[in-house]
Amino acid sequence: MMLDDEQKLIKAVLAGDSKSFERLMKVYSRKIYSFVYRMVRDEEVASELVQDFFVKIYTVLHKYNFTYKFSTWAYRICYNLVIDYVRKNQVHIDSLDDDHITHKTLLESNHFVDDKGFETLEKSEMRELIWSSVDKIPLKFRELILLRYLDGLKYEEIADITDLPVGTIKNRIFKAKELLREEIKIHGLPES
Amino acid sequence: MDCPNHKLLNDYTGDELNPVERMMVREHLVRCQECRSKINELKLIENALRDPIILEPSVNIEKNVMKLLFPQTPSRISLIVLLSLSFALFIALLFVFFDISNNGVLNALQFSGFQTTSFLGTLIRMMTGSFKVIYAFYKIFDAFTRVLTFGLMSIEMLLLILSIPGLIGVRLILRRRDAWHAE
Repeated sequence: MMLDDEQKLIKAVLAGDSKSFERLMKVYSRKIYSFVYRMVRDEEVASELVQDFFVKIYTVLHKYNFTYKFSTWAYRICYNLVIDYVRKNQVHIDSLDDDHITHKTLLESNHFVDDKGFETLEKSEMRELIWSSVDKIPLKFRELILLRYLDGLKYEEIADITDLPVGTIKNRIFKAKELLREEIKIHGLPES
Repeated sequence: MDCPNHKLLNDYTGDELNPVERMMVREHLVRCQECRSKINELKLIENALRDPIILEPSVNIEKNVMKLLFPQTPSRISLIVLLSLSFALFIALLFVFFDISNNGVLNALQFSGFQTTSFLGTLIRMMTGSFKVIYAFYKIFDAFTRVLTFGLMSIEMLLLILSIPGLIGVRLILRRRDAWHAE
């Protein structure tokens, strides 16, 4: 069986090489932190959860099946860890979840900005605006946007991680983009 | 073709349509200014999403995890240094407290040890013998540190002596340069 670079590192870790585990962490730490931070929106909690995640990964690494992609396996563990935290701290997270966005009405509207509002934004401005808006959309949309775009996972991989059907994931990601578009229109566009 | 719905346009920007659907949408876009505008808007969002902002944790997560998983054990070198220092301290203390070379009690014990053939005599002989060995080590250590100190001082003196003509030389060169500039 051909092993990719990450799997070679895992083999080395399982053989007792701690430096390989450090290298494996370096590959994932920033992306995992970005994902977790955007999920919980608390720097301290995110750092602790990421540390817990890596400790957990190390302790269950012997259970990893080399026929699967390591990133999918790791993200599933990370996702479950974060979702457990979110469930235990439901009130806190929900209070941040911007229920003021009446997304149903937003989604039903077929209104587009007909001027050049979007186009006047610089690429970097747009990027900042979009990613700050991602933090404002409800968790069930946010998590999928993060897995898809932040972590660059395929729909099938996201389905493996979240236990959601691919169709639901595609639909939610579409709705999430709609919410982002509306969020930018409401809060982000510069005054003309 | 009528204007495609929003979902179809969204899938078009996300490269998620099959080739036939893609071609149909593309043909429609050639004719429809409104849909082109929508597509541009969606593309801006799609491109921004595909270029994520990766955040940097404020703490060194990897370092913390490594500390948790692999607590640091003292290295072999630091252990040797620690043991050597402890040994040196032990010898120094022995020397200070017992003044091994001229200790009357020790001499008396040694004398009594030679005079006694019983178990107590053997014990005393072993003790005084151990102290002698320790003292011998102390002398070696003492001699070593003296040689080391002497060596270091000699090097230091040599460097000092060598630096004097060097400094004089630099001073002369600078003077000559100044004189040349003045001319």
